[in-house]
Amino acid sequence: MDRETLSELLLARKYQEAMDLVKKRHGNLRILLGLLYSEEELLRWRAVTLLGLVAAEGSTDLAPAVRRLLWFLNEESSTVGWCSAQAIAEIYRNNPGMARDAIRAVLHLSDDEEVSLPANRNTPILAGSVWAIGALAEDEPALVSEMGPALVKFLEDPEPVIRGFSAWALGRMRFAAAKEGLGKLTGDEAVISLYEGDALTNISVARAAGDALEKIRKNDE
Amino acid sequence: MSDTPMIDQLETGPWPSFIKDIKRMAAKNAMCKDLLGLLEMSYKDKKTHWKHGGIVGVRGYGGGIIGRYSDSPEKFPNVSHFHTVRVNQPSAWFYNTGALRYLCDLWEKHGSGLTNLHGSTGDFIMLGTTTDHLEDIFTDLSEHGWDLGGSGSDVRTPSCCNGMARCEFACYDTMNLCYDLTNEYQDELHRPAFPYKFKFKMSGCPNDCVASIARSDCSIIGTWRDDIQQDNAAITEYAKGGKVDIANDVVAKCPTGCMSWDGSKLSIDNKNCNRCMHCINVMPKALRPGKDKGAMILLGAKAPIVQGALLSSVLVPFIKMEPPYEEFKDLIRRIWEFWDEHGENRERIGEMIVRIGKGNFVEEVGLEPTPAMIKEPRSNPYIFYEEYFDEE
Repeated sequence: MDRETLSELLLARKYQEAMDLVKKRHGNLRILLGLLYSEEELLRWRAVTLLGLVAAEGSTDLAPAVRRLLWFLNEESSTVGWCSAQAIAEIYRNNPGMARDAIRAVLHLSDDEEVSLPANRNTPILAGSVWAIGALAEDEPALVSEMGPALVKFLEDPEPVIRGFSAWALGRMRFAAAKEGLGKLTGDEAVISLYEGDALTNISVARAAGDALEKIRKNDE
Repeated sequence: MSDTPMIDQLETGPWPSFIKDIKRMAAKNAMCKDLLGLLEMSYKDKKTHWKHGGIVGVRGYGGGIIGRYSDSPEKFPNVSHFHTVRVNQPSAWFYNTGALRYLCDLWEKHGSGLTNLHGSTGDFIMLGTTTDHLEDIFTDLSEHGWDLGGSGSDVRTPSCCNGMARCEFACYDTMNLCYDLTNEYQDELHRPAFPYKFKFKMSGCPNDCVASIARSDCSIIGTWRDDIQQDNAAITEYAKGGKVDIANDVVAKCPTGCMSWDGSKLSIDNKNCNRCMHCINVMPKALRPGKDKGAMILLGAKAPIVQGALLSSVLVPFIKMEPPYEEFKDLIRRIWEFWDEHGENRERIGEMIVRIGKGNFVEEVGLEPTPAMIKEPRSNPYIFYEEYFDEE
């Protein structure tokens, strides 16, 4: 298998065929991990999805890959795990045992000054962590609830992707204390690209905030 | 009085000083001025003021940029970020002046202007830029036919000696192989997915001018499997010329004692030659590597990080090394497959071989064990043969 074949299968949503290829030979898993760095945004996300499906299927132990992905988020690794956070979250969501040791570190990247402070800011990595919180919010509310206050602060972040992902995640968390902050974003027309299900959608931060408020209100009722 | 009295002393030694270079650049670059201040503070405080790394890069690639932040951005704001960019060097570091001028101009535009030629992996190293410049640097480099090198858990930028371009001892075309591997393994080079780093270094002969045996996970060292080519007339010339004492300078220094000299004739027991290159280096006009040339593949060198330093040891004693290098690439595929599956996080391949045993490794990558798979010449065979125990 080569990178192009796997890429085509993922873009065509042929997940079963892609999974069969990945399971066929261990080196193919490495190719899948390589797609997490792809320049093509949809392809990176679909690689995240496929890793989740491989985890759910269970026959391939992804724990070593998770350790590798976590190391790529370490500031000493000289690697940039652009989609490491999302991949670990998706693996955890589908098979918690494979990523149990890593998931808290991923969710707490927003507490990590190497990633989040303005002087050291790495917006894509931080956005990945925020997305991971949102992705796990409905299945693992207890795990992510402590990140609510941090996400509320991010609603004022200068980067639209951080504001938008935070709004989306807070909605999925039904985090009532975020209502005021979300309300301030109703006029924020900056557009972000959000991956949900297995599709990328361009939405405004205002729309993400509005949807989040709607979810919180429904939850309050 | 100077603002930097301690680092000024570094200029007073007998060697060319990097402080002098930085000062020269500081006249026109604010980063370099702050760099001097930060360095002075480090000497004064007896500790580094660089933090231990950073997560930065360009989209599409997982490596090539080494993040560096200082812990004193308030005092020295111009070096609050001081990231390193690794640029994939041409095979054997052949540049023309136009190429060097372009790289230096680019770096004066986007960074400190300070360079390091070359890094230990071989890359053209650009020292000191800020995060907001990275994508522009990458775009500019790409548009001019350059690429980033490797960093992190990927294939590091392959490097080689100048081989057949300049050296008559080269037993294969190192520059061609280096270029071929760099292109073949683009995905592995730019998208880290290994347990840890993996370095290829290529030397055209056992002189190993790029020190591949000490500095690469996979050393590819040129060798030959027939007899040393011997020009007896030239040997006589060396003997008559008086510059070479063949008995003492050549024969007595042969590490395996496979040579003899009766005052007029040099005899070599080629079966016992271990390709040390000494005799060939001393009498290059008279002795040359054999005609049946190729390379030996060694695995496992590394500097001490997680564990202590290792030298590479022989995995394949001889392989023909000619394009398209399919036999070699197939071996590498099997090696990576096994290491990828069984290597622990941050475990170099040499460390894994030590952990699991060379015999097991050889079997897993589908090679037949031979006595030539050695750690060093004439010692330490790794493999205990079952037949040996059967005889006991």
